Amino acid sequence: MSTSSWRKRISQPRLPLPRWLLLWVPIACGSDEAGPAAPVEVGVDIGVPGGSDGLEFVPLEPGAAIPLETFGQGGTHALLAVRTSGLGNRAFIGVSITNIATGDAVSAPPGPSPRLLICRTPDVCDLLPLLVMTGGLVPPGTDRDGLNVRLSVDASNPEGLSASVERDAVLSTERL
Amino acid sequence: MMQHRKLRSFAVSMGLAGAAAAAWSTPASACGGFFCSQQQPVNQAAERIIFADNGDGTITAVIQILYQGPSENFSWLLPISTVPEGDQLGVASDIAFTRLQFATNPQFNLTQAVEGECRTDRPRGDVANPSDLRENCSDNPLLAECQADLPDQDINGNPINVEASGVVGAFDYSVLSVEPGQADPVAPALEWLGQNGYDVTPEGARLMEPYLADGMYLLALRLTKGSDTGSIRPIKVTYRASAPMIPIKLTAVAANADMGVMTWALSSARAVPMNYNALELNEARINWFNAASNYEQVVTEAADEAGGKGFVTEFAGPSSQLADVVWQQGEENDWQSVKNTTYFSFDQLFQAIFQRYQAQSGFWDAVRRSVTLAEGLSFEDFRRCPGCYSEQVTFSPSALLAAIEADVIEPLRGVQEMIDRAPYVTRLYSTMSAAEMTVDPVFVFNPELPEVSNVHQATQVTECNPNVYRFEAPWRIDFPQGTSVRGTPDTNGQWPDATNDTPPNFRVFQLAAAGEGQLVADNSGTIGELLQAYNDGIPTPSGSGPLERDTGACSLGRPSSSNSPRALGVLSLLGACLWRRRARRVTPPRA
Repeated sequence: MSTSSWRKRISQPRLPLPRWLLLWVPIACGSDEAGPAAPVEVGVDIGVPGGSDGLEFVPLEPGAAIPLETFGQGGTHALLAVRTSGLGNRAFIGVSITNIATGDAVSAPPGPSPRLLICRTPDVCDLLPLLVMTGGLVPPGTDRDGLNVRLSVDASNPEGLSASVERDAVLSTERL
Repeated sequence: MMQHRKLRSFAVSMGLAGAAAAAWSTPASACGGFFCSQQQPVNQAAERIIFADNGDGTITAVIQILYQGPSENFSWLLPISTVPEGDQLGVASDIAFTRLQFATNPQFNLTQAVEGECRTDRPRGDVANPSDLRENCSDNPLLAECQADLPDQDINGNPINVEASGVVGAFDYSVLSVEPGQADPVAPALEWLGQNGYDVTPEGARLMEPYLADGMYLLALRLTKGSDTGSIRPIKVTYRASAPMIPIKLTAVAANADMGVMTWALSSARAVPMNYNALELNEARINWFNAASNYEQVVTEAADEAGGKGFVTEFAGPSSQLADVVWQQGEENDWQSVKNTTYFSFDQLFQAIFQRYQAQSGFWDAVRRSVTLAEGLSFEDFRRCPGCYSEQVTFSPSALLAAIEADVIEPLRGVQEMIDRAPYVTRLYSTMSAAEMTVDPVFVFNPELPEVSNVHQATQVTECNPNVYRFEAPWRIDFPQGTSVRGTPDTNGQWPDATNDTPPNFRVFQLAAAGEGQLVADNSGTIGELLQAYNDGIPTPSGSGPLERDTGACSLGRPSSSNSPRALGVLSLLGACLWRRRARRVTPPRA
């Protein structure tokens, strides 16, 4: 994998900050305009893709249903969306889904480099649709409809800012 | 616009996956679509797949298998959603991929233009004779007089069920399923595979686990006895699916760095990556004088910018543009002629088919199946010199012709029929390394998006002014994206290294099955400003001799080179400032 010089120029060292310190971090690297930069809460939220084109973030309420879809060759997937704030337009995002009853878990780990996010405002950016393969969450042949799961999302940016969230939900096989 | 006509302008055809030879840094295990044997990994130098949306809830995938190693070590595994029946499992032809790729390769063409008027009087004194300085074809292949020389370019008793098995092409195949309710579906599958000659490493088993745990079937292939690796051919398989998906996570077991992944999607509309970004390359990054020299690198950097999750749409348009590309009507007529001719000897028939089809996938497999050799004569000896042993061969002409039809003709014809049935073809390309293969890409179809030509056209302008001869004039290339790059006359034909300091993506989108998508990153402004700064550093020469007259034209002194420290310095400084400033901004979403 190569890195071009224009990216090397803008890369910054990863900050060895403890996670508690990152809950509220004033974003010092502010805008181009002069004046004090407003503190931005670093955070992450979990949702599902919505809207007419499936590219809108719809927050996932606790206990809400997560649609499962199968595309054939690749297995059955949960369709999710992740919203970050204060992390900029690129972030490492990892998602795991845990079967609350058994503790079995599946995950979509972050890759070796950050993903580009769709930014709705300068501070609020989304990654969607995010597919998590659900093979292994229950034994083959077991019905997943209504399965109680716990979602965990970890997001961090190349500068070392990070946030995480957990939410309980149920799986829905309505689209299968 | 397709490639099969000769372009008068300078055309560069890209052999994006042509070089299959790759060096493997780490051993990998059983190979298959993504998976391969422990001793010899499948050469996944560039994975090429054709997907056809059949419109009946099924997808047909034609998957090319590249393998280097002993035939006894070859095995290939692919997770599929349903058990293929009848003609839902078959073989295709490597040549189909070659022809389809050739016809849809990106081309970067430059047309020439002159802006203004250059000095035309005869140079004086110690000024070099223009004819001595005139560019020749090696200096600039874009010259009109040089273009005539340009080439036309371009995988009982235990919880494993064998749902189906048989022979397809030179492959023995089995379709496996694991009994539902298995706490560990991988262990029995591994045991079965091991007992049946499939070599799977622990890493391979780990990658296979989620697919088996999801209740998918496993298609396992190995070569039939007597077949060699030359018999390995693309697999054509039809299964129930709502959208094409590449099980790329399995590929990680046998992938090399920045491995090419090339996909053609045949459907009713343009295919877009659902869970990967759509990349629009920065045209100024591509070396338009010799695009093959850096196109792959630009795609790799563009995909890296998208976190290793992005595809470039290289072609999107009506399939009518690909009529006769894989299997031509002339070839069909020729084959019918071969079939309907009366032959009076083995030699006569064999010559007819050998001359036409010996280089094509499946030819020797068809011959091997159709002839009986005299005792003591090996097939390899016969293959080396068929004419030498014609007296020692017994065969049925009709059986041989039927075998050629099944193994050589139909695999090509079948791919063409797939293309012809689908109204629309999309070619997508990306590169990714094993560590980036964490998400299986899914493709959906969006009828609202415009076509994408594989032919890119830019104009090289010679910037004349009355003070300079044409050979002294700077040049400029105007790109369709609205940007330009300039150069000095002595660097004509050399792509400015400074363009490497601009982002590889012009824009990045997240697309979907409907709508125009969401803009994820817009580097157009940054690219424009960086190039402007660079271009401003390219001097306009004062000319080779005393001015004939004062025209007020800008004459900043003698050009040194396009990569002059001044130009590079300005670009680097401005680039750093611009990019830092933009990195802090968040690109607003497109309405």
